[in-house]
Amino acid sequence: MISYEVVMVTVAAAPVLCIIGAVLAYKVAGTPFAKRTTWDEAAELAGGAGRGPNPNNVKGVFAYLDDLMTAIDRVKKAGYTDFTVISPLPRHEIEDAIYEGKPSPVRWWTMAGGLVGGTGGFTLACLTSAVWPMALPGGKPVVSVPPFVIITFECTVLIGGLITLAAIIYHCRLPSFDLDVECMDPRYSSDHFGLVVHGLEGEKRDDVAKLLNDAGANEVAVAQEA
Amino acid sequence: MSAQPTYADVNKDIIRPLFKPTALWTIVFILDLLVLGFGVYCWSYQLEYGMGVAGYAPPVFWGVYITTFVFWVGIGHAGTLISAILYLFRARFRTGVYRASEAMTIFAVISAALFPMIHVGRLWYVFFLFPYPNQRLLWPNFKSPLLWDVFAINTYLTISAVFFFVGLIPDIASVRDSNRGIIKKVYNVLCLGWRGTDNQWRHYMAAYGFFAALCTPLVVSVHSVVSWDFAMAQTAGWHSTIFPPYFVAGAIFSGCAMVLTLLIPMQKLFKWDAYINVYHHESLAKLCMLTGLILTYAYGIEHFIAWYSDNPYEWGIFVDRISGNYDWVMWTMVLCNCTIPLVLWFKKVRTNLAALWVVSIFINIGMWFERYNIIASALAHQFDPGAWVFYKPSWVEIGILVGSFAWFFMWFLMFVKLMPSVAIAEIKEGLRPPLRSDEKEAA
Repeated sequence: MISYEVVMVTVAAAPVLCIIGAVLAYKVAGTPFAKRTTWDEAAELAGGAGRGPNPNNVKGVFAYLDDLMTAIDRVKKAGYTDFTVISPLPRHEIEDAIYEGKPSPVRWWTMAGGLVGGTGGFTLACLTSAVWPMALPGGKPVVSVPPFVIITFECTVLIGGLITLAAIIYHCRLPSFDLDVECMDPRYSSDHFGLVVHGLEGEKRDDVAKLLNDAGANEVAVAQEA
Repeated sequence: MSAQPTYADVNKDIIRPLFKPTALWTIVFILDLLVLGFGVYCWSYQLEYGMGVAGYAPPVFWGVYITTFVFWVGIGHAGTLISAILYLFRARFRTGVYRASEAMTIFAVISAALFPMIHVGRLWYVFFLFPYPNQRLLWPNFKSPLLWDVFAINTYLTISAVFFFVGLIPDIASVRDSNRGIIKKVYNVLCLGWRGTDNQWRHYMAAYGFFAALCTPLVVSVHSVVSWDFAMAQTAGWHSTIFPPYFVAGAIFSGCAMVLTLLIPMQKLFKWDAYINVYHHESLAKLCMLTGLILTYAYGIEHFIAWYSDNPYEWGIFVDRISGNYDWVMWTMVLCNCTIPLVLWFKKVRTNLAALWVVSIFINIGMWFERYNIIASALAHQFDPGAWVFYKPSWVEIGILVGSFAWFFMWFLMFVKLMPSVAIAEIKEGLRPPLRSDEKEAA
């Protein structure tokens, strides 16, 4: 009979080993797992909300999606890469324009979570049955695969889902209470789109402001330098 | 309102009913709490005096509680079906109805989760159901369908709740931006400071797709596992291989009916005709038609196989169901689930909201009776004629049953006043975006 300690150590070790394996596979595959986006860097540099407008930001508010797309295109062509687009709904054209078809790494989290959950669930069912062999209804074997497939499936979905939630929180940088105030206009969750260009100094601010105006922005805001 | 609402209209219309309790809402909520109070009293009475106050008649120890547990799990089926499976299939009618359906799912599963606790009697030992390390080296039996059920229901509740919350995040942000003061602060915390940046939407949409993919097999699995609570037992009337598809079809049938029961009054009360209308209700009615037919076929084949098996015990159960002590349960079930839904074949009925609402109520009633028919009548008529009994629910069981409805509606009533019941961001996805080129053309 397997001792209690062996069961507990194995149950605890199985998911940990799976996580290590998944992360190693990740690194080997060269997926940009922890690459920070320009938005993250901008938010970090800005020092967060509640400190007034950031003089290095230029904000454009757009009522029309096609104007916004024109502005994104012109900002990119002008060589500015550090900008944030804010919208009340997900639009594929915005994502394609900024990320150029590069998929979100969330999928790796989901896969890793599913693998950890599945192996953990199956291991739990096998080892607890091994340590408690009196439970033999119907003369089934100690490790009876068909009923354990159900536990494996449920744990795959459970841990896969929870890890996907963790992925959203990590990659979306939630909770995001410290964004630049330029990204926090209440109109963005209703019927306007925003384009905030970060890290601008001197004349570049005026250039970007003109560029956004020309693209059709309803409002362009440039904070005064202290 | 114009033919197509603007993005601002969507925010305004959907957020408008929040936080302002109307007289009707207040009266209904107070009445609901009174009924819930009676249910709580009944449960506390049972905790005080023991399971003897339930109407159990040995060998019938599964009665109203397990019936109602299965009923609520079934109701909880439609929400995730609509939000996950129909999302993957890109069904257009999903957008208007999925948020309320998901909420219904969560509250139905919370209601279902009460019943194992009520059923075990000694509530304080309910944690024995879970595998946890203990010095007695005791572990639950992973070969038991009851433990599969613990895992299935808890996984379903957790993942459905996560999917529901994730879907709500951008809409809670919209509520935050439409309010001031304490509401703004609270909703800012609830949406985790969501702003809808390109980075956030990118990962959010990827994750949402994966949630839908994870939830899809879960929808099918959860009621299959519930059906194995019965089908795995060597009990005449239960031991049948058709139970998983039969239960899943029944769950979708009852879940869609409950969505209709809840959404038709909501549409009328909140004047949401631009977002929920006859198109959505008719689509749900068609789902009811399909699953109702599958269910009717399952009833028929179940009886046929019992007869064809030439097993006197098996056939005895079915004869007893048709003409024995529980015949009225069986015929109520057939009337409500097989006969009355046939009117949905007429487009006039499917597009008449009052008629549809009445049919949905009959389906809800019929589906509760279906579970009662499966559970009570089978246990009361097992192999040994000396053990044949007539199980009749006690007032305590009826009180707890009614209380569970009040519990469910309490959550739903709070939900419609605190959260957007229609998905704001997704409704906008279905609209043509504001384009300057359109303005120029119109000019």
